[in-house]
Amino acid sequence: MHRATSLALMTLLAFAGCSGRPGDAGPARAPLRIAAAADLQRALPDVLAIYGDRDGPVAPPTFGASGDLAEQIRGGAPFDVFLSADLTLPKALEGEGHVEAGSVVPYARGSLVLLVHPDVAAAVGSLADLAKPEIRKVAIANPEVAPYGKAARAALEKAGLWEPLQAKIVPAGSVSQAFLHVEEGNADAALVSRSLVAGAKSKAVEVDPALYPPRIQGLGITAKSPNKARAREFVAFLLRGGGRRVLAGHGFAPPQP
Amino acid sequence: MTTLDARVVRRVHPGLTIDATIRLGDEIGVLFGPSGAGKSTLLRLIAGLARPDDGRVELAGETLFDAARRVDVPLRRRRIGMIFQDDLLFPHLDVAGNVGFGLKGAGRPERARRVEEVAALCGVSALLGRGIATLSGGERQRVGLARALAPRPRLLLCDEPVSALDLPGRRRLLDRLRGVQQAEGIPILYVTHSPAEAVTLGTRLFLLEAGRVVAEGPPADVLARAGGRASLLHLEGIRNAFAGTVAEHEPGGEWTRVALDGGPSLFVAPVDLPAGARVDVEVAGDEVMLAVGPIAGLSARNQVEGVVEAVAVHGREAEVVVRAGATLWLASTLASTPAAMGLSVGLPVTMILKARSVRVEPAAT
Amino acid sequence: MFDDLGPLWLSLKVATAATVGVAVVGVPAALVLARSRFPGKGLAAGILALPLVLPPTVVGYLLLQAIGRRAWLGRWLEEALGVVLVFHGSGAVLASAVAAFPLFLLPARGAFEAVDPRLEDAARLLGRGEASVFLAVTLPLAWRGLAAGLVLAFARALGDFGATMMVAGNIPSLTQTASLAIYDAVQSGDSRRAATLALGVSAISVAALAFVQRTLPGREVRP
Repeated sequence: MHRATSLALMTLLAFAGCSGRPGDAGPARAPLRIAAAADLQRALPDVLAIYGDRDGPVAPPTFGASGDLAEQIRGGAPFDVFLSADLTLPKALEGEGHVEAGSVVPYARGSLVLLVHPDVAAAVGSLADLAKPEIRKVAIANPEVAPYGKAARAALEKAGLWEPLQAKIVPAGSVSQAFLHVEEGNADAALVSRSLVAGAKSKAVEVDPALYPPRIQGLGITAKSPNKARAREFVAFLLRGGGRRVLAGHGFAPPQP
Repeated sequence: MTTLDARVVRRVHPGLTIDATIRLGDEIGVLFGPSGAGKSTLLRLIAGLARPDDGRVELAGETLFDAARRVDVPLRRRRIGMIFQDDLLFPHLDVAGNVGFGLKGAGRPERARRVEEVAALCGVSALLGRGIATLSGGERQRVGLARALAPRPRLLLCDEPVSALDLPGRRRLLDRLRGVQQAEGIPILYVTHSPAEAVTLGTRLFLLEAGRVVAEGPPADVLARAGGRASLLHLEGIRNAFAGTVAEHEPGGEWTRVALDGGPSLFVAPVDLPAGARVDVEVAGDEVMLAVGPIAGLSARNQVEGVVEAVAVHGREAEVVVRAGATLWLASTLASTPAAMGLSVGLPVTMILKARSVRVEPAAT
Repeated sequence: MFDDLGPLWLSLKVATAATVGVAVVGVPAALVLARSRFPGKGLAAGILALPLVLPPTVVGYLLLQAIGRRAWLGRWLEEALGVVLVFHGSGAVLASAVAAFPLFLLPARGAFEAVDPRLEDAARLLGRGEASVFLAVTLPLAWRGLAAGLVLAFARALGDFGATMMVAGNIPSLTQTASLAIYDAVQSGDSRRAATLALGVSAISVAALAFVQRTLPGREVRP
């Protein structure tokens, strides 16, 4: 019995040390923690690959719907940088004091794309085609918590399609989940961020940008961050230098047109 | 006349294969043998609760099982009644519900009538509304008997139904069984390892040993012939149990006389019960003495005339079965005594009992 | 306020439908496990009990592999019967039912095993067919255990989260059961709604428990 207990304890301890890299010790080398909107799922790892550990370890980023992440920061989650899919959320957090005043800046402009599953791709050439009966389910990020979901809803409303498509809409936890739904075929189509689309087997259909407000994405440094200096370094990299180029490669436009 | 004609074969385990033929008419047959002989298994094979490896079972002309022709009539159509050592009454039904269980399909008034009829036959009419948890062991077995008989089975199988009962309960059930056989006229196959039950109940005995019938015939005969097989007859502390009525009290309070049903009167130690009261009477087999020929001058009050029915010797003891009127008595003696006294079947003997040896209890209801 | 009742009502409907499904499949399964002997019985029993020990998200994942719209069973259901389970209420019912199934199966099997099979033999000898033996003897003697199992299954189905979310999605008024709605409310900081819903679900569960305590007194003490 004792052997089993100590074995279990050792295993637990080993796993506890697994976040971050081996050899991480006290606060001086605490990893940089980034909360990132789901649409950065592909882009951010590429950014970090170039950024490397030039000034210290970086923890694997936490991806999620921006609204969810904002709630977590409000609840005290130990992130250093918040990369949102909109500007509203970081500004709100700044006003509440959870994000360092003055640290909120736009870092990219994204766009909405309609993805259609190969089985029904022939039938859909535009947003309006979503009304066809072959399309049974359309996934969007949950408008309550995801800026891309809000944008998707805005686009559909502007196109006069929100009411007719009500029964087909499936709110997904985040824009990357909406992407998964259509890739796996459980949804016939999905409105997702362009940055997720590369290499997908589903067919991409352009969405008129006039249908939704510009997708300005902003970031902020959390007020409680113990790593503010490093956070600022990373933000600088993202806004200028290598970071901007990587983002561009993933379909993001610069924040100022 | 319904007849049972059964031959069943089954390999029970490497040490025991059952291969027995049982033929029974309108009578009570006793399946007798020591524990482990396979009596209960044989009964289950005939009933269809276990599947024979080979053989044929025919009842009232209908083939219930035939291994060669792949006939195996399902249990629900065999019309065989069975009572068990654990009464196996349905705990969630009351007595009437249990008794009427096999009568599904009849109309409600018909069912009620048959339930009453068979309850009366088995002496449980007064119990019909009761829950079965409140019944005594003997009552439960009689309810089980009524339940088995209600659907008018063509054969009644009894798997040691009295082994869990006390003596009065045993006697009552056996009396009922005899009554049932006469009233319903169906064959009854009764399993027991008690020679007392075998002799008092059956008209034909099948002696089972290691799965095979080694002897068959009138019970007393078979048991007498089997006397040499020490392993077969198990002495269980034979007690004689009878029903009777208090007949009279000696005015001076010295004795009470009890008249046994269908049998002799006995003088017993004074009993505080009124004349006419029903009683259960018991005498230990050890306390029955036997005498041959005329007797002169004995202190014992009771001298009962009877005739030897059977003698069974086993080990160091012997049992002598004596018939007195309608009652059967068992006397235990040392093994050499019957031979020394020249006891043989049909010989008149006198049974001698002290008044104090006779135990009298008010009849249990 | 009435907006809050929506998920509760949906939870109630889903949990009830799931429990019915569990009973329909579980009673025969429990009976077979209790009475029959066949090779691989232990393995079958183990597989049926899996949802009890697997994390709910694993259960959801495995279900998706089977009934996702492009998966083998899901595709057949959609093409042959026009039935789609993912993102539908029926998917929520399926996910909850699968999660709740072992919680019924185990007590139900125990209840059937506790019924003396010799009583069933006696009933057969008395002329009853198999269905009648089951209805007249086995079921009445086992029903307490079955009812207790059903209540457990109901409570589990009511509270299911992970598997339901993966299979049925979190679609308000369609598949957003109370558990999912509570999660959403907490995520978006709506503590009032979260509290109301949590209270509602708890009330239903407690009511179910109280119902069990009253109607299944167990061993009664005889006066």
